[in-house]
Order: sequence, then C-alpha cells, then structure tokens
Amino acid sequence: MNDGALTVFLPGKLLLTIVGRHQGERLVAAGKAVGAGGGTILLGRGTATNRILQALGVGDVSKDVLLTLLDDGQVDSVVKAQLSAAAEDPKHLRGVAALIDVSGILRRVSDEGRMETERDRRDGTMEPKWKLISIIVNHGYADEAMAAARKAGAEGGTILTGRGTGTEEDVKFFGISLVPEKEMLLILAPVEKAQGILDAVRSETSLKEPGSGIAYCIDVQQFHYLGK
Amino acid sequence: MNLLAKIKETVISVVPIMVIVLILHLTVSPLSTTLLIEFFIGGLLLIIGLSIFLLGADIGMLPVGQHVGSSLTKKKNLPVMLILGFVIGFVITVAEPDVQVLASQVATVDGTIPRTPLIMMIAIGVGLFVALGLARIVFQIKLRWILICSYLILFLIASLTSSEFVGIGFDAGGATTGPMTVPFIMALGLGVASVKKHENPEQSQDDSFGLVGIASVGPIMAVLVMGMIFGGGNGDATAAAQSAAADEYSILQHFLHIVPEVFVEVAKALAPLVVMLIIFQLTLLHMPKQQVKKTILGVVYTFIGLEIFLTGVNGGFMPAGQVMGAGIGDLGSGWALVPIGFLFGAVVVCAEPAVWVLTDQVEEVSGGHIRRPVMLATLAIGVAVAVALAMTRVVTGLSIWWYLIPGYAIALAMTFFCPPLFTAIAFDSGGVASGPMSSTFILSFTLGASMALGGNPVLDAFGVVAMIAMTPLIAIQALGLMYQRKQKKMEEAVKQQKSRRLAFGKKGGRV
Repeated sequence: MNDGALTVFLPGKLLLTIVGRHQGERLVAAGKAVGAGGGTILLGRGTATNRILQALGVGDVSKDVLLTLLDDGQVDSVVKAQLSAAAEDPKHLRGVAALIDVSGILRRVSDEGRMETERDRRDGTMEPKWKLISIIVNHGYADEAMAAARKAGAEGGTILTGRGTGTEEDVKFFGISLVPEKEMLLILAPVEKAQGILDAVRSETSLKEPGSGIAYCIDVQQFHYLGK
Repeated sequence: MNLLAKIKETVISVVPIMVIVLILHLTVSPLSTTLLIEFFIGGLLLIIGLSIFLLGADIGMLPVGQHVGSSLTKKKNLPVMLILGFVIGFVITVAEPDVQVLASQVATVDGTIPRTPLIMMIAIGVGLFVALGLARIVFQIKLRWILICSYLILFLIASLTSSEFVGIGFDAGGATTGPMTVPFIMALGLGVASVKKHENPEQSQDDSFGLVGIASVGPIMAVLVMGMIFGGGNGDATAAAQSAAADEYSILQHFLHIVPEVFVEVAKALAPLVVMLIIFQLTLLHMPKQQVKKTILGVVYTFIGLEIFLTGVNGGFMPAGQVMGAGIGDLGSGWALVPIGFLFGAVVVCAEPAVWVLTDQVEEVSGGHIRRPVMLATLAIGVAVAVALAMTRVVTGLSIWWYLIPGYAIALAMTFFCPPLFTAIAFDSGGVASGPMSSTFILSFTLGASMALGGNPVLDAFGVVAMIAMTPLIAIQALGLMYQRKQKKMEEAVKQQKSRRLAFGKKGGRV
C-alpha cells in the first residue's frame, strides 16, 4: 500500500448522461478519447413523454445511465466530446447530460508533483439553472411519483431499480435474508419547477405514508440536450 | 419508441425464415401459389403479433409475475409460498393451449389414455416442480443437484416406458412451457430472487433463472408416468398427422376461419391467469394505480399479440412447413433434410416469443453483461444442430435414446464446470426455445418429411421438439465456459490496475 502514493480528495465533477440502451459505451469511448478515465453504466427505464403513448402504456424506453467522474480540467473537453458524438448521430444518441459539482473525489496520487488539490473553482459561484431530483421509493411506486411529477411540469424521468439496505435488521427467512426492492426516479428539471415537482410528489396519496421513500435535490451546473 | 424498436427486431428475426422458404420454393420444393401467399401473410401476422405480445409481456406479465414472486417471499410463510407456487404452475398449465395440442397428440399414439387425467397429470407435474423450484431458491440448494436428480428419475421412468412415449414425453416438456407460461414462471423466479440478500456477490444472479428449466421436467415426467400406466394400445398416428393439413378455403377465409379458434384457445389460456391475478391483487399485491393500469394494458396486449401471432403461425407457417418437408423428403435419399433442417433451426428460434423475453431478462439481470445478440446467436447454433440431428433420425430411424442420453449426460456434466448463472439460463432456454414456432412449423416440417420418406412419424418425427429443448442446454453452458475464460483474462488485466482501485476501499469505488 505504501508505495510513495497518497490518498486525497480532489474536487471535480460528476457527469450524468442518459441515452438509449446500448449507446452508453459510445459516449464512454468519446470521453476516453479526450482523456476521461471511464465510467459506470446503469440500466434504467425512461418514462414516456408523449401523452398518447403514456395512456397506451407503450412509451417507456430502455436507457443507459452513464456516470463519469471528471477532474475540473477535463470537464469542458469531455462534455464537448460527448455532445459532438451525439450531434454526429442524433438519431441514436438522443438524451440529456447534467454536470454536478463533486467536492471530493477519492484519488490516489503520487507524492511528487501532482498535489494541486487547491484548484481554482471558477464555476462554483455560478447560479445553477437546473436541478437533479432523486426520489427513492418502494418498488412499483416510481410510476406514481412520475405521474405526480408530470402534473407539476416535469418532462420525463428515468427509473433505476435497486435494493434497499434498510435501517432495521434484515428479515430472515430460512437462512436467506430478505431486502426491500427499491426504485430510484431521476428527474432533471429547471430550478423554478423543482420545488413544485417535489411538492407534487410528496403530496401524492400513495406516497404520503411515512417510510414510503426519500427525495433530494442536487444543483446541476450544466445541462445539455444530446442529439438535438 | 419501444414499439418501433420491437417491430424492427421482430422483422429481423422473422424475415430470414421467409427468405429461406422463398429460396426453397424457387429451387427444390415449390409450393402452390395459395400456400405461398398464405405463408407470407402468416409471416406478416407473425411480425405484428410478436411485437405486440412482447410489449405486453414487458409492461404486464413480467412486472406482475415478479411482483407475485417477491410478495410471496416477503410473506415469509413457506407452506403458503409453496402451495401458491403449485397453484400458479397448475393453473397456467391447464390453460396453456400447447397442452391441449399435446393431449391430442398423445391420443394419436395411444387411444386408451384418457385425455382429462393426462392434462391434470401434466398440470400437477408443472405445479409440483414450480414449488420445488421456489423451495430451491429459499433453501439455497444448487440448481445442479435438483436437475441431476430430476433427470435421473426421468430417465429411469423413461426406460420403463414404450419408446413411442419417450419422444412425445420429452416433446411435452418443451411444448408445455409455452409463450404464456414462460414469461410468468420466469418472472416469478426473478421476483423471489430480487428480494433475497446475497452474501456472496458471485452468487448474486444465480437464483434469478432456472425456474422454467425445473418446471419443464414436470410435464415430461407426467406423460411418461401416464405412458407407463396405460401404455400398450395403439392409435392411428398418420390419420392425426394428416388431419393437421388444413381444409380448402380461400386465403382470406382461411385466416378468418382460424381467428375464432385461436381466440378461444388464447382466451382459455389467459382467463385463469387473469382471475388469479385479480385475487392476488386484492389479497397479496395491492399494487398502486399506475401499476394496475400498466398490468391491465399489458395483459390486453399479450392477448391481442398472441392471437395475431398464432393465427399467422397456424394459418401460414404450419401448412407450408408440412408441404415443404414432404417436398424435400422426396428428394433423393432425404439427406438434403439435414442441412435444410440446420438452416431452419437457426432462424426459427429467433422468432420464438419466449426467447425474446428470456434474452431480454438475461440482459437486464446481468446488467448488460450478457448481450442479447450473443444469446440469440448461441441459441440459433444450438437449435440448428438440434433440428439437423432430428432430421438424421427421420432419415435413419435411429432410436431417440441415442440422442437423449448422450445429450443430457453432456448437459448435466457441464453443470459442474459452468458458472451457475449460465447453467440456470441454459436450462431455462431449453424450455424457452421449444415454443409455438418449433411445435408448429418445425414439427410439421418434420412430420411432412417423415411421411414422405415412408417412416413411422410417431417414432421418427416426434422428438424433434425434445431435441430443440436439449441442445440449448449444451450451447448456452458452452457460452458460459467461454465467458468464464474471458472473465479470468480480464481479471488478470485488472489486477495490474488494482493499486489505484485500492484507494477507494472495498465498496466505494463502484461509481
């Protein structure tokens, strides 16, 4: 472990990109070409934006949610690379990208030289125009939350599935532990709509019970439509 | 749009069959113009029906099946879970249209076997094995041991049964797990696995699959047991096979004539499931309203899709398959059947509805690691070999034992080396690959060929579905071994970067 290297927190950005299923790798490749380290792709489900399709229940689309951690210096080039990759193939790489400030990325750096932890956070003061709303609810309720959010002006959302770890002891059943299934709904919304959306979700009847879920908001520093 | 994407995908999977039939029509085995037009209309209906069905499975059947699975587990009441598992397996099997078809087929081999008890036996078989499969997930028994024990017993019973029944019995296993049962049973297993906490990350996905594979054993055993008890009598097989040939109608009438038949079949299959779901919703599930809306839409789409699909298959593919089989069987010694069977096998499996559902779920559960095209290609190779092997039987009349024993021996032996996830997927895909396409198009093709060659269709042609259900077990497990090797290589590469990774601690480095 101690080979002349240090573990430090470096400020940086998290780039969240949502595109169609199987298209995530292409953005990773575009980012890598300009120096991004790589990324993590989660499988999500995009909710329908078209009202008729929504009513017919046929509008949901499979999505790739790509998370890329970037140093401040890489941000512009990687965002530009992903955007231009999308612009070249707008049919397949349609989606959204949101840039989120990260106060510390755990990094291992060598002693010599690369200790520039104090960086000039030039865009830190910028007033964010978009928010990323994350809502974690029990399995099956993300669509309820989305329906409520839509009434408050949300355009669309992406649903990820996961398992909760819970605060209580896991319930045992013949030697296997049971864990609750969760859904996480991500909605990108303009700042002025964000509060309304959160209120709408909170007052949705099926989500009023205590323990039905949690929600939080994150500032988005840059927001882009891909392939548009 | 998902629907457009689905249509595009199904077009890609159905068009090759049509191209091959067209080429054969133009070269070696000409069909009548009417039959050819019917075949192409059938293909069109197939594409539309398959797309709508898959959409319905996506938004209705699969989510609700998973929900039932996870809710059952959360009840933490083993007897209730197993009893309901049995009831689910029983109800959906009694209703499955393929089981009705199978019962008629059995009647042709042996007229003394009563029809209703046979269907009941098959349904009980599926019910018991679904319950067994659920118990396996709870008690964390390795799939391998369940499968090995089941198949050993199966072969023991089979050895005591007359050989007519062996073919049909093994066909039954594949055929009964049809397009309605497969998505639901599969989702049930996924649901149970999804609420289970996995201490060992290596095992995290193993439980998600395998339930269909276990459930497929039930009907085989049921038919064999019935054959052992009642066996001996003789039915009129060729008459039954010939009755499959459709009556003469105009093309439009031809399809319109099929619609109500299929409608009744599909409605019969769906009705008990719907009743069961309503009871579950009121007592166990309590789904929120958006979910209920989607489920209802999904079930409606499944119904419409299956209706259109089966109309196309029965109206266009089945008759064409039989005539084509006879035409090619007439060529020389019939060995031309083997390569053509190979081709048909490769393309037909891609048009099976349940195959799409399975490959989709595999992609989802593996987090995109096991891609659909890879799975489809592997299945295509497996089924191609299966149909080619079945054709060698049609030509030579070799006993089915020469194929089943080595095949299952290899498949079961591979479970010891293959990653468990792939074993589970493999045994599921055995039941999945043998759906309505193979039990109509391929089976009628084989029957036609067998009759043209003057063989005994019951002995030689039946068993083709069994073969289609068997080879994927080997093909998918072979794929698993390849993945395992690739994985090891990748891990070695990762080791070199590990020093960087360590900084994140054990679990924080995922993002």
